[in-house]
Amino acid sequence: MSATTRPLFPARPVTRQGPVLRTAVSVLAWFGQVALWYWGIVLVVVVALPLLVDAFGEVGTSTIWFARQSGVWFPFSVLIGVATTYPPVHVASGMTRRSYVRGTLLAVVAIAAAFALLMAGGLMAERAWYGAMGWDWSPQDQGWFDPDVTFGSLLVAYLATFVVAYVSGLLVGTVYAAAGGWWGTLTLPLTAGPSLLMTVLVGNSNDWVPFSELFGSTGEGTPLALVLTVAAVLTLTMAAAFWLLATRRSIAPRRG
Amino acid sequence: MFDGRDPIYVQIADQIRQDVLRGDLQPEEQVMSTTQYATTFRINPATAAKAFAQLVDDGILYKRRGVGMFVAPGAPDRLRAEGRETFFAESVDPVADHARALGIPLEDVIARLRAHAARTAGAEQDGAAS
Amino acid sequence: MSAPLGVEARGLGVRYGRKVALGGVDVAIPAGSITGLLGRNGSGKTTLASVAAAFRRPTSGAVLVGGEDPWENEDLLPRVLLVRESGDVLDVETLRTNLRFVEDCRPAFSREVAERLMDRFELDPDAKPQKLSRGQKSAFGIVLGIASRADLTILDEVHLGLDAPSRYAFYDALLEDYVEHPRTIVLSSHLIGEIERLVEHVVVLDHGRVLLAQDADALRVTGVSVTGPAREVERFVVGRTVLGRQQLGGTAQATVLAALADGEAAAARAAGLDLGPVPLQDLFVHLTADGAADAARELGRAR
Repeated sequence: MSATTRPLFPARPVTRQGPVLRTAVSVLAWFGQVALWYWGIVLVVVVALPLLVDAFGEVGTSTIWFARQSGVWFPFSVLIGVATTYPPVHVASGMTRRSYVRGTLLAVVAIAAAFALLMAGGLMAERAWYGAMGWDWSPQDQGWFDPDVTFGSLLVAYLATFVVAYVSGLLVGTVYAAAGGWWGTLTLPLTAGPSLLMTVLVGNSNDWVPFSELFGSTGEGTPLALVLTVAAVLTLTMAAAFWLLATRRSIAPRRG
Repeated sequence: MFDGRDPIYVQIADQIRQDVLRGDLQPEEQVMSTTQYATTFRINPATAAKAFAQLVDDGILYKRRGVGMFVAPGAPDRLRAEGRETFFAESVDPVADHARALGIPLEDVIARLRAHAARTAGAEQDGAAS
Repeated sequence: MSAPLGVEARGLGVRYGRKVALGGVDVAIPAGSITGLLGRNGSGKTTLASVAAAFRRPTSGAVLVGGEDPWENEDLLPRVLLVRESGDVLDVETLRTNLRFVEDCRPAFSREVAERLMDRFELDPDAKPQKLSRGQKSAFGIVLGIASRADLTILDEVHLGLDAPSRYAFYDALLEDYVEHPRTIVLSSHLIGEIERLVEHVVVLDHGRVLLAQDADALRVTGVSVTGPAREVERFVVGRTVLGRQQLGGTAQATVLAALADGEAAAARAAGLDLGPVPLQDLFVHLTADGAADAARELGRAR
């Protein structure tokens, strides 16, 4: 009679969380699986690359700082996938679109915080390691990070970049799913543009984007306050757009 | 099963009446619950319940609270009495009409009925002997 | 908190761009019934189900589920379930993970029922939906549909790809659980012959309109098939709505919309005519054939 010998579920209490928390936890759990792979690869590269370079020449630039780009675009693309494929399952499971939007935004902020912590912490660890090995340490594109940058400002800059990028990923996926490929592509400057803007803003060099002069700074890059202000405005605008689109979205029949 | 022209609940009720008449269901015997009936014959439970309610109304079945439904003590007699009426009205009268239309004398019809009854009785005895 | 939920559409209209999917539909699905939602492809069945389960919003009019608007209704929606033929599951997660997710979302979910049905349909809990065959996907949709025990459960063409034994296992499981845990079940299927005795109520949609909505038993007996000598059949059908007619030599058969009085039936038999039932499937085919709307109106009057 029984096709399987082991029980379907290990005995466990049914968790009756609210839908918002349940959504956030689910998204985090799925994302966690791919993130483990991501960080595994990053770790290998970050450790192996300087050792490799050291064998042939002089180690000078930070690998983790370079990995910042992947920390922006990898979750960004995973979240596009979440925003296109998950909402039908969410609605079919008897939950509101509101709880989907709140839950995913919550999850995205948590992911951004985790990534920012790991990136900033990694950068600090890398700097210490380079110092111990007698190597020069500097971010590779000379932005507002000088080699003496503090952990706090690093963390905040990363957090701002990642939050914008991940909300942007949700928005891109939502527009593609709700309005189709044409609109999805046409609106990319608006939906993915902010993410790009943040990476430029945080990683700019003086001759590239003259924001600092505009704001009367004498420093070498974009002032942190400006980064945070822009990030806040972009995040709120995109989150509002995400809310408006995702809470109205129809779940169309799908093929297959 | 249940592919006649009547509503299904009527057919279900008829089926149970037949079971009582044939003695397959004895007085005071418990009958299937409507839910058992529904799942056994893949019938909508509301339809089955309607049939059973009709049988209760007609005094064929009665309910014992918390136990189930049973065949009423006088059910077979009641059904036979009703059956007698409808038998003559629905089966015998048309035969008589039909026979007259075909010019068959009533005596021939009666002889035929006697012969058939004798054959059926003989077959039943054989069946009982084996 | 938990009680069967009825559905009531009032002037419900849904458009996809210029295409009208539902045009001003007024229909009620009784709470606690098993209702057959029938219609040809593109008749608007899935659209009606989608609005009831808040998959989409109506263009005009409204649908009330248990007297409330389901759209973004967080108290109501956990009790409303639409299982679509395509399945809305986490494709890259195992069936076990999917079941856990649904268990967390559905207050009345029964793990025992889920386990029993997974076994009955021989589904491997470690498999992922994307690797399943058409029939296995359908079977998993059925497991979720029954085990969730939602007060309004809409099963839209969930039998696709299932062989006959599996379909009957589905009907049996559905009835067994319905009997134990009454709820409103809406069953949409093209296999009308298989579900006609399961349903208490029938709603037939055609081109985005309600062709008829009534008691299934009452609908069945409004059709009569008459077979006999062609001349007698012709005489019988005079003044009645004929849905279909066939003739072979001197013998004719006609499908007629009529609720016969006892005397009429006896008279027909005396004239050498055989009266038979019309399977719901045939009635449906006749009613939804082009130009059959008149017959449906007639049927509405005949009641």
